[in-house]
Formats: sequence, structure tokens, C-alpha cells
Amino acid sequence: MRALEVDSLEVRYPGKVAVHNVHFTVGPGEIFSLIGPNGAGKTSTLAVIEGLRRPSSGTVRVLGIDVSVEPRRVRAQIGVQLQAQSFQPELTLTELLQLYGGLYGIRLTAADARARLEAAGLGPQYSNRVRQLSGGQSQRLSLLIANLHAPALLLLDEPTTGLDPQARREFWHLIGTQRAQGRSVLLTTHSIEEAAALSDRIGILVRGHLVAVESPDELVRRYAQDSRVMPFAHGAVTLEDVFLALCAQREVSA
Amino acid sequence: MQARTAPSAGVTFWALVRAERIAYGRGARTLVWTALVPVCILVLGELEVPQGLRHTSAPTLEIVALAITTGAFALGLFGYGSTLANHRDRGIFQRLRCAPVPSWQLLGARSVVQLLGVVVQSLAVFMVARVAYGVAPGGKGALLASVVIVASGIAALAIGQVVVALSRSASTATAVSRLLLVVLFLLEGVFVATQSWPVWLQQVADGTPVRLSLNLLTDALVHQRWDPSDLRDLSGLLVWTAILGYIGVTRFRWESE
Repeated sequence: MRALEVDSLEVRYPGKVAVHNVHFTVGPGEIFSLIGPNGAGKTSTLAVIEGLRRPSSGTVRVLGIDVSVEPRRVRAQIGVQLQAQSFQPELTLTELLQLYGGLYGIRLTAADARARLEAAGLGPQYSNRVRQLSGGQSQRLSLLIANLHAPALLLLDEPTTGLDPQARREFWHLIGTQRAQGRSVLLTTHSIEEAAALSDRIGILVRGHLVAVESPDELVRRYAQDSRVMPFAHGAVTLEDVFLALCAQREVSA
Repeated sequence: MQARTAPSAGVTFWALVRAERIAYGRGARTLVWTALVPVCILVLGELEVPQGLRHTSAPTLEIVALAITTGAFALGLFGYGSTLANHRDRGIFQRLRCAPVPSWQLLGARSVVQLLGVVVQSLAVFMVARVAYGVAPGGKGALLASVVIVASGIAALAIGQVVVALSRSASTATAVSRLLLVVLFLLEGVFVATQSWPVWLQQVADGTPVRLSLNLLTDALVHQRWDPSDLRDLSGLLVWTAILGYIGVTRFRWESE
């Protein structure tokens, strides 16, 4: 069974269509990245999958469950990491784990929560608040909370924005371990390097249109000889050249 | 891959109430409004009791009513409203909504904890009044007062909810709350005795949730009984609560603009 099926998805706001007729799927154990410039519709697409926004048309299914029909059941299958640090500032890390555990029906004692923090390398911070963590520690906490209930699908919204190179590489390693555990990941990112390093497949979203879906290698191979890509290439064609060319073409046709 | 079932509503509600209770205890602003304001009124406010509410046989019970009413409404505006707006600006509700939790529980759990805060605050005021003034309401008065305190607490939360629902950001909500706090003190006659106001303005003031609560609580504590006018006041308070609560919930946005 597919972890995620997005079919004919449209998201409209007053005076604007943010997502146009988007189709893609994410298989079991697959890491799928959605990349695109600002305003491409990545966050709107995620918001529908997370059940935070109703689709204007189309369907989204997680493990075959329609998010418009059973949003609570869908949310029980997914783990979410949002862009901003969005945890209660009054609670300690232990209390946050207990809260989010409870929201997924998992009763965690303080000792259980500390053990999980320890395993995530956050043991010494168990009584700290989120504001006392570094960027890398915050992201580890976010991933830990997103994973508390062992979800089938992880949704990561630009998880490494603002991290230093070392913390970013460390986080990539953590995402890689999710695949090893058979978990599917849908990642949105601005970083072509990140998408290329982590993803089994990449979807390029421009102005709400999904203009290409392939593996990173296949995207480069397919467009290597394309005349639209040549102006962007400095030597051998890279994934970034392909991305820039497809974005530019869509901007012109829009 | 096996699909998980969503947890029961009771489990998620309890988890939220537990977290809200901890957060409430650690919120410095909430604690200030919960403890300091009513106690200050109790200790310093004897000279400021509105003339129309003064009763010769037991003046301190009027101060107790004033302290409790002020504390409850200040808590609704700052303890509940401002914290709600701040958490909305930080995206805390959006993160919680990604979990399998019915949306109503996010506000419901918070309201339950805040209402318990109003009750605890009122008990604290009664205790200080007993120690400082040696006065305590009679049994019947205490029973009537408990009804008023719960009704006033819900009305205060409804006002805080409306302020947040109609404000685009936490800074706007806080500014509006400060303004409303001044209005609250005016309506209680703290700055200027309401008897010096034009009659039509007194009548308008008497119909506001704050005055309805204060009159009801004063009658409960001082006279230890309610007459038909008190039942009319209680009905008025409930109507206000229903209207404000409806607007506050239906116009509420989970993310700030």
C-alpha cells in the first residue's frame, strides 16, 4: 500500500490558485522531496496532507485513508515537523514529550520521556525549555516528537533552514535512518543539495504546478541535452541547473 | 504498513488539560493577574468601593466582591486572552492541530484550566479576607457566590476569546485588553463613582457583564440572598456569555495573519 497518494489536488485562496492539479505518490520507505521557489505551493500541499486545510478539489490519501473524510485518523498515521519552532514555551522537553505522547494515545512516564530524550542525544536538556536549545537540538526534538508514535509517513517542512553545516549533515543522517526503519518521508526544501543527497525521487513544484517527478539522477540524465537547461549550466549539467531551467520556463509560460 | 487508530477523545483531552495546567502555573503574567491584582484590591481597595455598593453592616465583603470580579475579568483578558494570542502567533495551535485531536479540545482544555484558575483565585481572596479582615461569607452566601464566580469566570473567558478572535496579532490583542481593563475599572467605579454618571450611562453600565457580575456577587455575599432582579442579572450575564462565546469561537483563526 502506498504511504501517500495525492490525486488532482487543487488549493485555491481568494484571488489565487496556490496548487494546480497536482498528482504524486510516496511509496513505503521512500524519501520524496518537493522542491520549488518561495510561493510554489509546497506549504499549501503539506497543509492539506496534514489536515490543516481542506483541498479545493482532488483527494489526498494516507495509507488509503482519505484526509477529507477521516482527518483525525489520517493525523494518527503521520508525524509532522513544521518550519517554525512551535512548541509551548512554558513546558520542559520531558513535559512536551508527555503531552505529544498523550495526543497519540501513548502514555509516557517522566522516566520514559527522559529515556527517549537520552536516545536522541537530548538527555542533559530534559528539564530545559525549547528556547534554551540550539538550532540543531531543536530540530532533533522536533523529529523526536514527530516520531513518537512511529508514524508511517513523516512530513518535514524545510527542516534544515537556519542550521549550520554540521547540524544540517547530522540531521540528514537522522532522516536517512528513517528510511532504514521503513518509514516514508515527504520533505519540502529550498536546498537542491539536500534534496539530491536524501531523496529517492524529487518533485519540482513551480507556481503550483508539479513540472517534473523523477529520481535525482534521472532528472539530470533526462534534461542533460535539453536546450532550455544549457544557458544555466557551467560545465556538466547539475540538478540545480535543471531546477533553475524548469522554474524559468514555468515563469515565462505563466 | 498497518493503519493506527486515532486515540480516544478522553485520552487527548486529559493530555491537553495536564499540559495546560503546567503551563498555567508557569505563566508569570497569569500568576500576577491571578494573585496580585485581587489581593492588592483587597488590601488597598477599601476606600475605592463604589458608593452604590457600600453596605454599612459588612463593608469588607463588598471589597471581596470587587477583588474577585476584577481578578476574574483581568484573568480573562490577560491570563487567557493574551496567552491564547501569543501561542497563536508562535504557531503552537497549528502544531497541535497536526495531532489527532478534535479542534474544540484545544480551546476547551485551556478554558477548563483557566476557569479552575478563577475558582482558585477566588478561594485565595476569601482566605486573605478571612485572615486580614476576619470576615467570611455565610453558608448560603458562599453557595450563591460560587455560582456567580463560575458564571463570571466563563463570561470573562468569553470576552478574552472575542478579543483574540477579532485581533490579528498578539500585540493587537494585548493593546485592546489594556484598553478594556481601563473600561473594567471605570465600570466598577474604581476611578469615579458611577453614581456621578448621567442616569442613561449608569443604566448602560449596569447592563455590562462586569457590572452584572459585581452586583450579583455583592448581593450574594452581603445580603446572602437573591431577589428577582438578581435572577434577571444572572440571565443577562448568561446571554452576554452566549453571544460573546459564539462570536469568539466562530471568528477565531488558528493562525495569525
